Amino acid sequence: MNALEITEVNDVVVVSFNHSKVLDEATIRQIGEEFSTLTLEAAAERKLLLNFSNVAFMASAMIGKILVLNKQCKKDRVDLKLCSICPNIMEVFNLMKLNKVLKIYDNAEQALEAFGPTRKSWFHRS
Amino acid sequence: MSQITQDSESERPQGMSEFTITVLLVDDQKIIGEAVRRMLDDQTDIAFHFCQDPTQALEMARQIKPTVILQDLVMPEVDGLTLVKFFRANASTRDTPMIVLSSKEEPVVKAEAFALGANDYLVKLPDKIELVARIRYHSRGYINLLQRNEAYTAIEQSRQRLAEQMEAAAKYVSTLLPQPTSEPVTIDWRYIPCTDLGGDTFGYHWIDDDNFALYLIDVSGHGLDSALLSVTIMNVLRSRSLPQTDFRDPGQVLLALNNGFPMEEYGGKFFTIWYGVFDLSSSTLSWCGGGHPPALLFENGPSATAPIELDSDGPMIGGMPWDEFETQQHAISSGDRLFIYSDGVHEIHLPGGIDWPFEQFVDYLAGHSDPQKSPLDGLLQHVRQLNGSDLLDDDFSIIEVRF
Repeated sequence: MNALEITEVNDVVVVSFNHSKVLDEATIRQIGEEFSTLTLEAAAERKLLLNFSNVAFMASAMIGKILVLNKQCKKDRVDLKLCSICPNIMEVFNLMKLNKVLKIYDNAEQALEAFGPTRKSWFHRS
Repeated sequence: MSQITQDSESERPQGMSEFTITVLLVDDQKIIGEAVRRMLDDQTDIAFHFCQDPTQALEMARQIKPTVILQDLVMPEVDGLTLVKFFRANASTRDTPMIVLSSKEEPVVKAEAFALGANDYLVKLPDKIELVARIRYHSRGYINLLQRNEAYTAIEQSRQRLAEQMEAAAKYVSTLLPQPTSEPVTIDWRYIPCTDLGGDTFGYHWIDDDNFALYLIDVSGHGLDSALLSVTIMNVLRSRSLPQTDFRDPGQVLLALNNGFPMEEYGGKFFTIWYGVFDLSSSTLSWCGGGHPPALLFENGPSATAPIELDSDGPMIGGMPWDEFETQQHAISSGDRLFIYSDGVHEIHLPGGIDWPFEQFVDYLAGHSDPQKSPLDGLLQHVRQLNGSDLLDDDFSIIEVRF
């Protein structure tokens, strides 16, 4: 089973997690491996959103994987945003000052809006 | 049939013992022994042993370790059912499959034999095809059991070895930590490593005649690699081996650490740190944190008040390039108390899926401000109670400084 679920909302590649507890090493390693192809997934529009709405617990080693992804996005000029982080995890993010390093939004709507105008959006207008 | 044997052979994990199908026939009649021997003669992967004297059967079984025992129920010197009982009582044959042989179908005897632990019943003399099939069927099950037991033992041993190594590493880290002290300030601490080592270390030492450094490090992840990196960083701070760095300036120290320990060069591991320097001549505490929970300063006063959170803006160390880690300062008075700790002290998963709120941790320390009594043991006990177990998920490290 994949650890990540990848969908597209307008021109944003939205990544959500299949595990609610990201604690064991094997899961974190798998997520890290699946992270490594995300900038390719988002190569067209360079908009990538990590949606944490499914994740209730997360080990600190997972933060390392997010940082690696953040570096890769910077290198490939992909706009990375995070959203829907539960209070437990947000407290850790705040303590580690990740809130100063990453673009974090309360929910997917806010994050998607922050990506700015959608090139394909006229398709959906009725 | 031989296909099955080959398959199970090829599936055998490396390092596991090889088991041969070994038959022990216990029967007082030599002619039966000879008949069975002939039936099995062309089965090259089956070893056959015949015991004509039932009083020697247990000893012989102990020696040859059969994977199946064929036993006659009617013999002159020993009651066949009693012998079945003996085989079952004996440690070396307790689980060995037993096929009892009788001259005719006797439902009552059959039931009795099964009740005593026999696995199968055959009427003498069975057809060759059936006998070989039953020998293989029962032996295969038993060999699987032996291999499973062997694998369990191997896993248990390796788990034990790993646990011993972790314990040795935890002891080693403990020996590197400085002793509690009363000069120039009173320092006490508690360090309770979690079973798989959470990557915490801490220390304090004089930098020069006036300046005393205090720090606590928490490397991401768990395990020996996290602990080793943590010890390395502790040694770097202790030996002051960072290029062009004034160790009296916490911001400079964190900047140099961030430049020197990028996570991609250290197995994807980053760390958080709180580093402070107490200047005795000016009674000033300088500090800088990198992604670390704020140290808590309780100022000496008539009543318990909320602490000053000695926080910083800098992120964790090694996670990304960062231009500046800002050094901050605060004046210290006699009687002030400072707590430096890792997240394992307050990030406790409560039953019901929520975490212990950070404010409640701060409140706990604020509520236990008796200058004569350290709150450290009480805090540890409280956290263990909240956790529902004495075994915590992360290293529990906290330093208490009394100025």
